[in-house]
Amino acid sequence: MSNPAGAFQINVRAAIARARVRIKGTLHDPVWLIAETIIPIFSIGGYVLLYRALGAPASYTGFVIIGGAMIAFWMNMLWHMAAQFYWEKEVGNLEMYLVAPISRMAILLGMALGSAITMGLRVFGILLFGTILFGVSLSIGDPIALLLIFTLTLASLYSLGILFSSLYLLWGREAWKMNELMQEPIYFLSGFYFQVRGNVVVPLAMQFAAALIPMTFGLEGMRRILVFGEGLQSVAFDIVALAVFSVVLFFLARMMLSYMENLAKKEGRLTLRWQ
Amino acid sequence: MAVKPFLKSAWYSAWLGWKIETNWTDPLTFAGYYLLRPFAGLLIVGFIFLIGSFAAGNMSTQYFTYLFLGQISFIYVSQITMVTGSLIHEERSKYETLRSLYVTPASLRPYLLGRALSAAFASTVSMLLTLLLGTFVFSYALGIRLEIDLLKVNYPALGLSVLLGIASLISLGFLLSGINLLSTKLQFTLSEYVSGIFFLLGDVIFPPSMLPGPLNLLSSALPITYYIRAVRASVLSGVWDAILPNMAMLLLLAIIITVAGLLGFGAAEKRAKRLGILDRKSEY
Repeated sequence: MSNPAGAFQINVRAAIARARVRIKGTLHDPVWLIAETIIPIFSIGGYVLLYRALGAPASYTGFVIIGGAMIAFWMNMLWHMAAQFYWEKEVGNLEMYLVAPISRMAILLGMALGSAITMGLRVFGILLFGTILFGVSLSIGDPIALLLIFTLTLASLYSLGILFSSLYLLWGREAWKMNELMQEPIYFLSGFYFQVRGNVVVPLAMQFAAALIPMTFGLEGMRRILVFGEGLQSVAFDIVALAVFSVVLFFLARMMLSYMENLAKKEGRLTLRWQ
Repeated sequence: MAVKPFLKSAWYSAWLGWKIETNWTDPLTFAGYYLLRPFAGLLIVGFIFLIGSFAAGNMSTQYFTYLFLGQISFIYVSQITMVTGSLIHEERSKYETLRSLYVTPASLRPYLLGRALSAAFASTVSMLLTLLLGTFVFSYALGIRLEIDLLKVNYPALGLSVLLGIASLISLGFLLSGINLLSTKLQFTLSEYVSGIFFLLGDVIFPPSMLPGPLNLLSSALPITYYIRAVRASVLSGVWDAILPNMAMLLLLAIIITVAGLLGFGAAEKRAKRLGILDRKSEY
C-alpha cells in the first residue's frame, strides 16, 4: 500500500474488527461466561486445600489464587492466540487474511486485544470468587505498580502468542502437541502455585530456567503487590524484565511471522489442512 | 447393533485413535510427550508439598506417599477426559468427519468407545513412565521416602481397580461427548473443568473431610473417589478387607455412570439432530 497513513488506518480497523469478533463470540452467552469464571475455582481449590492440609501459612493460598487466575491468560494465549491460525487454516479463513490488504500482525493484535478484554473479566471473576470462597485477603498496595505489571505481563504474553502462532503456518499436529506441552510444565516452572525466585526449596537451575519465561516475572510481581502489599520499588526488576520481554518478543514475533509465512509458501504448506 | 460388528468397529476406532495420537512423531518424542505433562503435574504437587511442609516445619512421608499415589492414579482421569472431552469437536471442526461417521452403520458409539480405549492405553504408558521417573526424582534426587512395600502390593486388586476406574471414565466420556454435541463453546475447556472438579473432590491430594459438608457428600458419590481409594488400598495395605468396600462402591458407581453415559449421549444425540446442530461449527 503506497499511503502509509491509509495502511495504518486500515490495519487499525482490521485489528478492531478482529477484536470485536472475539469479544462478541465470547460474551454473547452469559451463562457460559459465568461457568468459565466459576468452574476453574475447583482446580484452584485443590491446591489451596493441599497447602491447608500441610499447615502452610495463609499467604501461600494467595499465591494459588493469583496463579490460578493467571492460568486463564496463559491458556488463552496458547489456544486462542498461538493456535488460532491453525483453526483459521482449517476453516478456510487464513487464505482470506492473506489476500486482504492488511498485515497479519493486525489480525493477531486484534485477537490479543479481544482476548485481553474478555479474559480480563474472567480473571477478575476468578480472583473475586477465589478470595471470597477461600477467605484469602489480597490487597492492592500500589495500584500503579499493579497496572504496570499486569499490562506488561499481557504485552509479553501475547507477543509470545504471536511468535508461537507463526509455527502453525508451517506445522499442524506437531505445533498442537507443543501447545499441550506448554501447560503443566510451564505451570510448574513459572511457579503458578508457589514462589520460584529466592525460594530455598526450589533448585537454582530451576530458578534460572523459570527466568526464561515472562510469566514468572508477572506472577512474582503480582504476588509481591497483592499478597505482601509491596510497591513499585520492590517490583522494579520484574517491570524491567517484562518490558524487555515485551519488546524483544514483539520484534521476534514479527520476524518469525514473516519468515514462517515465506517458508510455508515455498513448501506449499500454508493452506494445507488436516496435518 | 450386534455385538461382534460393534466390537470390531470399536477395535478399528481404537487403532485409528492410536495412529492419530502417535504418528505425528518418532517413538522417543512420543514417549517424552506422554511423560512431560503428567510428570510436571506430579512435580507441581510434589513441590507444593515440599514448600508447604518446609514453611510449616513438618514433613510427613506418609502424606507424601498418599498424594503421590493420588496424583499418579489421576493421570487416567486427566488424559481420558482430555481425549473424550474434545473428540466431538475434533471430528466436527478439525477433520470434518463427524457427518461421515454418523452415517456409517456403526455410527458414533463404537467410535467413541474405541477412541476412549486408545486414550486409556496411552494413559497407561504415561502412568508407568511417570511412576518410574517420579519415584526416581522424589526418592533419590529429593530424598523423600515413599512408604511403599512392593511385596505388600495386592496386584490383582490393583489391576481390577484400574480397570473399573477406566470403565467409569470411558462412560463419563460418553456424557462429555453428549455435551459437546450440543455445544460449540466447551471443546477446549470441558475436560479441564471436569478433571478440575474431580481433582478437588476425588480424594486425590487431600482428604475430602477437609471439604465443606455438601462437597464432602458429593465426593462420596463420585466413582473417581473410590477408584483412587481402591488403588491406594491395593498398594499400601494390600489387604482385601481394606480394598473391597472401595471396590464395591466403584463397581456400583461404574454401572450407574455407564447407564447415565449411554442414556445421556443418546438424549444429546437426539436433541442435536432435532435442532439441526449435529455438525454445527463456530469460530471466534
